[in-house]
Amino acid sequence: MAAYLGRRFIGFLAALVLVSLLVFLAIRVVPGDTAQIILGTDADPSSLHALRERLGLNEPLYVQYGTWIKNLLTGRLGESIRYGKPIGELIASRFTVTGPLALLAIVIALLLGIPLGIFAATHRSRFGDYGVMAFSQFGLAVPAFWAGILLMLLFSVKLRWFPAGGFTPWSKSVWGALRSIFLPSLSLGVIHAAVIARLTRSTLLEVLGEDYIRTARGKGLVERTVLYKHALRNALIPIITLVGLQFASLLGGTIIIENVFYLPGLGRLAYQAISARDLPVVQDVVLLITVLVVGLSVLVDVAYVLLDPRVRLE
Amino acid sequence: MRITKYIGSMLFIIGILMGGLTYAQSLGGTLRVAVQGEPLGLNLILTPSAETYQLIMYNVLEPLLRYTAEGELTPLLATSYEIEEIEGGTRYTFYLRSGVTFHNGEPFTAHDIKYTFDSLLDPALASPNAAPFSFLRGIEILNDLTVRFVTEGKAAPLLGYLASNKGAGIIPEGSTMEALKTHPIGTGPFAFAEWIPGDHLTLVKNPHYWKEGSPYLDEVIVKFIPDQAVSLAALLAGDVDMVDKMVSENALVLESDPRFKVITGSMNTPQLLAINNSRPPFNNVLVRRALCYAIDRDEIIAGTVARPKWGTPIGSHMSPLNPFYVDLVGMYPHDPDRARQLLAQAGYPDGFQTTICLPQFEFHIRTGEIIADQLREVGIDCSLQVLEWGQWIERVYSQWDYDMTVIGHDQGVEPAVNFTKPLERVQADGSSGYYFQYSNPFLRELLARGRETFDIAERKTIYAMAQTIIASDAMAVWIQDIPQFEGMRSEVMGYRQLPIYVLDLARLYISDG
Repeated sequence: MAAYLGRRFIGFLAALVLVSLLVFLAIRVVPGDTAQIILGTDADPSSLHALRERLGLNEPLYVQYGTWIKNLLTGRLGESIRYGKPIGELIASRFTVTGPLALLAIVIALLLGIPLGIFAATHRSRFGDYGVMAFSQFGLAVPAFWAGILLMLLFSVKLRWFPAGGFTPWSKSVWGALRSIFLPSLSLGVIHAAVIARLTRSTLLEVLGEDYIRTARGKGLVERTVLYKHALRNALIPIITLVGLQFASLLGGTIIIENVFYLPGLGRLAYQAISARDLPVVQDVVLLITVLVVGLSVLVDVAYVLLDPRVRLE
Repeated sequence: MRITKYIGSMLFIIGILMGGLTYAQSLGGTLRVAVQGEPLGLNLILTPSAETYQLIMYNVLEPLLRYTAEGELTPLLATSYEIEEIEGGTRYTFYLRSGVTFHNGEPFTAHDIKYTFDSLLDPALASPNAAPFSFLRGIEILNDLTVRFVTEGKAAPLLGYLASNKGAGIIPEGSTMEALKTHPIGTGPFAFAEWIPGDHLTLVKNPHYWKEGSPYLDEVIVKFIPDQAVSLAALLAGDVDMVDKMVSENALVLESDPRFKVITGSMNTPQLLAINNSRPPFNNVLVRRALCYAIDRDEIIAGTVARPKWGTPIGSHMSPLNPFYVDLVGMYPHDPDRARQLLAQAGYPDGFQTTICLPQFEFHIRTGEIIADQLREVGIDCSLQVLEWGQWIERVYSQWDYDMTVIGHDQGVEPAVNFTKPLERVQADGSSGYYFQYSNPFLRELLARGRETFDIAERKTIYAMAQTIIASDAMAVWIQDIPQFEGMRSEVMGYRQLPIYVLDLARLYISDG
């Protein structure tokens, strides 16, 4: 197990180095003079030059990359050009929005998706099954931002149950914070629930057709025990993989949904930083998201091993 | 008897109404405003951000003078000024308001003014807002409440710059540039309270504001909502009280709802089809004039603004909001036949092929599509290319690598602000150094005279001539004055638009019905 974890960790580091290089290069090959975009069309050449100098843009690329990595390793994330605030502080405060948002979305997706999938599998080819499949088809087709706007129109504009956007900090009111992330989480969660429901249904159906399930039933076990103790546990493995992958796409989805609900989260920070060419912020945030996504996939692999001892540690 | 009674009850009612109004105005309360863009740092000496300027100028930081809604200059931190011509230059003496304090409790004096401008012009800071003050030779403190600016030559635009330049808001002596980035300190009616990047900015009433009874509101929370559909939903859901600069489609939605009102105005941003004047065939004035005749402004307005009456066609490089504007729309009426004729005269009887580069903004993209259609009618085959903003700045604005583009130029009231760079910037060989690529030595002389003329009437004549020259040279095709829509709950009162990009919060109040 230790050797396995060691290998995974090395892979994790390699992925980080690769991504850091890619991010660094990608934002530098995007057309547009960074200094001019930051200072706007009125800036005169001397201020443009001064800014380029301050940002180190006049240095060769390898020097810029080296400086960035060196600063990261010594814990200096730098300062946002756009906000004039330390990036560490920005990321920390933004994470209190995006973290709970993504988490709540996953919880909603699981709470909706797995029971619906089980229901559809156990009611195969009946009315309930078709209903769940129709919902799941709808969820797959609808983009999160559109679902967000529809939910907003219903729950905020018409019913006034939830705010139409914005964020109440946790320190001010936990209830207020939960209310402000509920609709965005629901928009993301419902869509991911559709995928989970589909996968739960199909893997469960597959497992239910296996010999050992027939044996279990033959032993005279009650259907509930067969379903939850034998079938579902085995059906969960692909679902866990999927949830791990979905968490990655959820973090991507937060970029859109945070813009729709104007939540001050990491996604919106990254989005605005890209259009404002706030290079230090883009680099750090993308790298952080990579750490989260890659780290999560390592965790999923470990969970896999724990759930199914047959998975070989190679 | 009856009349006396009638008058008596009338007076009574008026009394109640006035009392109610005074009560409502002094009520205070919180106003929540949605704006689209977010400030880029809060230090106006260091940032070029119009979003910062919009919220901080006049509200938190105050300059020596300010513009009224009518575009007139009026004293603010200065109470009066004198202008004297001296050998090789001009001397402006400002007499300052006494009893003014900064939000940090420090008294406001002439030293703060010198400190502000020394910082703005400090080469080490390389402020993006310093360039207009390059003619300043020095600032002398005569006493605590008198300060003197000395300029190189005659500098008529100085007063306008002092009232509207981003860096002209006075900061307290000794405040550090670093601290002001996240916590601006000024003398304005509102003090800065907090800024949560990506979410909101809060301003609170300055209880020691020098102007008695101002401001009316206790607090203003500015929320940053980038998406127009979402800011409309926030207004409808009661999450905000006002939406700054909405799109005309949303104004249409509010128009029919009695709970809300829309105040229409102008962005002070002329929209134009900019032409690369040095690139063939556009270096031929006949071709440029043909473009002017080929374009139907009314059709563009109908296609870009939800109600055509909200759009205003323009014919020169200024908005009708500007007191220096002259109406030259009639110079080129829509006349495709005349356009074809001019193209034939210029040697293009069958037209030619060209590209319009469009920045990523919906309003300009739609305009570009309509223009391409209109030009096709006179034989000019236009392809469209949409560029991300950063790319547009690099390719079109900085490298002048384009044929035509559609863009809006946000402007000030002082005509020198609007004209100096586009029309006077030249390269070493005398050719234009601006993306219009238009060069006219006579015009440059005229504009130089404009900068040295103090008499308003005479200045107006000079800038009217300048506008007529560029219009008759068809330097660009000016399309419309981009309209501005402020949507708000009907209880929000006191909104008035300034001719500069500042949201004036001091006069706003929430009436309680």
